[in-house]
Amino acid sequence: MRDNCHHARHVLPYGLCALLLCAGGVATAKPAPFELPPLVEPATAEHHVGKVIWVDLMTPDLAGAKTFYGGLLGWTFRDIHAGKTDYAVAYLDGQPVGGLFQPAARPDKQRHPAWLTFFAVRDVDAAKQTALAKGARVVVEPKTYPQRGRQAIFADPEGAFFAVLASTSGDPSDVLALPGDWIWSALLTPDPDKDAAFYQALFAYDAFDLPSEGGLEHVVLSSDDYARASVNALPSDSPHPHPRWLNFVRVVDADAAAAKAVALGGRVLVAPHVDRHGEKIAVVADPTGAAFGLMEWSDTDSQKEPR
Amino acid sequence: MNNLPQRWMIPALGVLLFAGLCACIATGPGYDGGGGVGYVGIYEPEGYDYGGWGGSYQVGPPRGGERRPQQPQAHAYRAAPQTRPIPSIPTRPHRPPNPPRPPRG
Repeated sequence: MRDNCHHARHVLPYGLCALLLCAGGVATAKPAPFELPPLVEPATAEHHVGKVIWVDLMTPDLAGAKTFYGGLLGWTFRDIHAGKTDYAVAYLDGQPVGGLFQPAARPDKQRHPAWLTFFAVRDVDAAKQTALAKGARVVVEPKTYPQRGRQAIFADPEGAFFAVLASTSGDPSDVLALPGDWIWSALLTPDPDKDAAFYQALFAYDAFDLPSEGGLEHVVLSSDDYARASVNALPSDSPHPHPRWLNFVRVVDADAAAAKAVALGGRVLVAPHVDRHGEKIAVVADPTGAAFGLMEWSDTDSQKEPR
Repeated sequence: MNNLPQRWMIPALGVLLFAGLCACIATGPGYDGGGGVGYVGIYEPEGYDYGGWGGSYQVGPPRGGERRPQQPQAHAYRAAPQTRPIPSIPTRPHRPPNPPRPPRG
């Protein structure tokens, strides 16, 4: 008995020290933040509400996606790993053009990867209130990433996913996208009228109804006197009328780019064909099924700047 | 002498526990808050195809200056005045990168 007491007297201080050390450690250890790079470097004071300023690919195969998009579009990548997150920032000509994100959980077999479109806002929380009031639902609550800004993900009233981002470094300038960069975004939806009204309420767009052959509604949304996106009726014979945003990358040659996408393991969903502006577009899917568009746009065909 | 291993055992365990906790916590929640649940919902339903795109199905941006027919229709959104031409995408070229500054002196 005496031995036990003697033993306890010696061990107790060490035990207390160990407990204090643990408690202190837990109290002071902070999570390593998930650092996304600034959208614009050096930072600017430019803000273009309603402009598509970022895209994220949700993919179950980050390595495969890097090989595909790097080979097709000349992107380079910087990996970011934090927690269960595997993320790579894609760069074109030294500028960040998008993110490739492999979520920890894999999708079930009924779903396939997609690109998520981010629109510029000044105030994410105010955008959330407006979106909810107009029939959207929150998919991911607003969250701040110190260098990037504050962002949130919603589903619009028809169910198409989109995100908003209030960039802390300003928004990219309104210049013509380089080949390999995103140039255009189109919402494909069963109810263009309703969706155009929703996005107009959210981003204060000007809306232009365009005549379209076959009676399919086509609305161009603009801000700062630049076309930002379009809202398109899904073709009436579409067997799965699921609304979605489709983003287009500028390419020099849509035929060649589509062929290269196939050579890299992708698929052609819509063959290259001439669109409204007289040059070719195509829709392709990467090897995991994420769809995106290819669009030609030659410098010489651009109209003179409106200002 | 017999007590020596036991005296060091508890602080050693404490240090190990501390290191383990730090390793767990310092990895952080990542981009999607850790679980990725919200983002998995963003994966698209299987089965959608784009086969319905015919030649008249147009999604691209206008070139600018295009005007609409003078037959305003009722919409859920506020259509811009018919007199206003449809704008195009930004077409101003990228500024070339700044040339390197000459060395001083």
